Amino acid sequence: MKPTIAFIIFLLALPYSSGAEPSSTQQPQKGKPIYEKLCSGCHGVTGRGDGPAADRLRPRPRNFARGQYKFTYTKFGKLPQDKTLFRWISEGLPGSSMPPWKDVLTEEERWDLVAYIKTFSRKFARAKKKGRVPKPIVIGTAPPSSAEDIREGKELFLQNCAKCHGKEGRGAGPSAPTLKDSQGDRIWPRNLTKGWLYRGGGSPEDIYRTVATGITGTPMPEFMDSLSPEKIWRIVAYVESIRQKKRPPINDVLVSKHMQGDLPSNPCDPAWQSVPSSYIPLAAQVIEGERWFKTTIESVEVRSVYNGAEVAIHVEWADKTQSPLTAPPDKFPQNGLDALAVQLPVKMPLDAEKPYFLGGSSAKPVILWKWTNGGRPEVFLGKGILKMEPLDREHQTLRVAAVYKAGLWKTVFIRSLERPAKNDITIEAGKYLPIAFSAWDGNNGEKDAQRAVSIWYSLLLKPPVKADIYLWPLFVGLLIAVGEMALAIKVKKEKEK
Amino acid sequence: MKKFSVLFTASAVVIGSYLFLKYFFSFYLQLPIPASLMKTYMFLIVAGTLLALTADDDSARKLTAPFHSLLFDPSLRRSRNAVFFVLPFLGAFITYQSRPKTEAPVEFRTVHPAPPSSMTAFGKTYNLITLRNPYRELEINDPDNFRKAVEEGKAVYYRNCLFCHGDKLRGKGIFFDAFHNPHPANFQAVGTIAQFQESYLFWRISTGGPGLPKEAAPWLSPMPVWKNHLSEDKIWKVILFLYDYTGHRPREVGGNE
Repeated sequence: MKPTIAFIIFLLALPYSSGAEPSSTQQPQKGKPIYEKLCSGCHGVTGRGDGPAADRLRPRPRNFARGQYKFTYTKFGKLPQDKTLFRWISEGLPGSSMPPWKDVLTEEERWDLVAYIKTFSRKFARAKKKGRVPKPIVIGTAPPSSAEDIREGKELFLQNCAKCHGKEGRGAGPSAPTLKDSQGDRIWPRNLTKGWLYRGGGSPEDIYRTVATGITGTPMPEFMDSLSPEKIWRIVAYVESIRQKKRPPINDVLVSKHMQGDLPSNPCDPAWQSVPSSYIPLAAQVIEGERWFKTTIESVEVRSVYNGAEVAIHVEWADKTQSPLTAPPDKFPQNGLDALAVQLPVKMPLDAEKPYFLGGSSAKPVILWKWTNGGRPEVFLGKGILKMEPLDREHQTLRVAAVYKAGLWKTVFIRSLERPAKNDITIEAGKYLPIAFSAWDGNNGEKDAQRAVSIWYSLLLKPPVKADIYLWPLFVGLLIAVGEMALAIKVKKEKEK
Repeated sequence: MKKFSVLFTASAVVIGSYLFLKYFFSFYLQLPIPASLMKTYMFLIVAGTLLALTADDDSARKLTAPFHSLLFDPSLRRSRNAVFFVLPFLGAFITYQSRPKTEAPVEFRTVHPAPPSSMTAFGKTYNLITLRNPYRELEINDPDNFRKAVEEGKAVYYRNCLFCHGDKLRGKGIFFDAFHNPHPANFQAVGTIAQFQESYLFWRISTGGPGLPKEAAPWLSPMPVWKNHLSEDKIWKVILFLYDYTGHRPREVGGNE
């Protein structure tokens, strides 16, 4: 029995053991084999951020030889503390390709890794020789913030941050398309509304740190010299107020609500606000055509309503540029068209079999409703992602409206439930209709097969609530009551005996 | 208390098991038991408890005694009336709760379907039963070149597979959320590559999602058809890497070696 209890105590203690202080026995030579097994695929054997995966990742993996670290508790451009490196190795950098390693490596191994990573840049040894120790900034803890603080924070944000992060914080400020980092890579300001993707962590103290020290090697400057701690805390309070902390849950069914009267065809119609939305994460389409791994559209949010004649699908997504740009920056001349497509099967599937999720196939084609910025909506018959045939005008009972505002595209696709032509789909209520999405960021050079895609989801036009939802419980209740009466009579008879 | 003891024990066993299965697995181990499996477990537990407690007439009587007295005991009249009053509402409530919900239609899908006996790729036909990894023999005969092949396989993995199958080979790459159904295979788990011969992996990698048989829902899988992107050589090397990194051994088949 005793070993069992000890084991349970051990298990319970596991998640709580974490040391933030370096062990005295850090050994770079012990970190080397760990690095070469786990880290070199991205960061490269020589630590130059040039592992085999490097050019397919955004952001590019850190080049340790430069001794430049983005998220530190030291002033802009200064070397980080060991415990900062330990933290990023342990917890990873959310929204990037760097995963947390604390579930794989022991604390000691992580400290050894820190020691080994530091050997890639001479800066650390030089600083040590000169007796220089990294000096962390003072952060303290977040003060309670009032509505007034948030309002002042917003003012400060508009003055200091909006040029890149945009007025609404979606990273769509006027400078956004022009930015690059110290290695010449294109870089985008964070969309601050998606709080689960903050690279340097999402606590108020983390946000304070990033605002105060900036992000070394990027256009994000440090504000600790120009703004007082009180002002930075107000900016933090404002950022906290606009960010969604957790990634929305993923539902495989998109429910379309039944409504009377005309469907809201304006993407900004307030009626859409009351329709629940579904979060659909996207991934780069890297299977067909010229392979492109660095898409920028992370997800779309979908809402839907229908009436007796038509269905409306509202798709909304964050995009930092409205492409084509009127004046693309010289450094980044690619200037394609933003676009979005809704993919459906040609027929309501009778069994579980669906068309291939990526644009269908000749045996089982798909229908694609495509909206392109500045163009008219098109309908395609897809027999593969590279084999899209435009369908004739008679299919185009499709109407699309789109609005771009403050880093957000909002579109509404409306089509008749009845099929507009023979080889098109009739949409039926009460059935699960496979549906998928593709999105293109023109300013990111995306076109044709180069795009962000989703897997199949199910769109369900939910029939209006019928009375039988209440009739069945009533029936069951009555049935039980009748049974009880019979039982009571039987008991009474037995007692009389 | 004594009168209810057998029933009390039975309920405690059933409720206790339920709580353990539910909370220990989902919150502590982070491995929630699927609802259908949970139903099976609970059925077995309830049936087992009833069997154990009704093994002889005496204990069976003890178990049902509380129900009997609830019906017949004049002193329990109030409880009886209360139970009779509540039950129809409870039944109606449960019926209402179990009304059809908008959950995704269940798609039955074979995760690791049986491979065909042969396949064609790279202009050749392979017999999957006898097919061996040409680099495997180097492991014993030429360890240096074996390491080299594993390293080359590693580069192939990081350039191509990382995005879905992840840094830790657990199937949690950066595309994990987007490709959650079906999710990328976890090579560290005992149920994947540890169960297969290398020829199985060669088949799955070369022909990808679209190469799956119908029972495995080929239309859902985002696994690329790698024979369109990688050479035969690179596929064998990446297979070496998968086993080397995870420490699993490929399954060997046939006794005539």
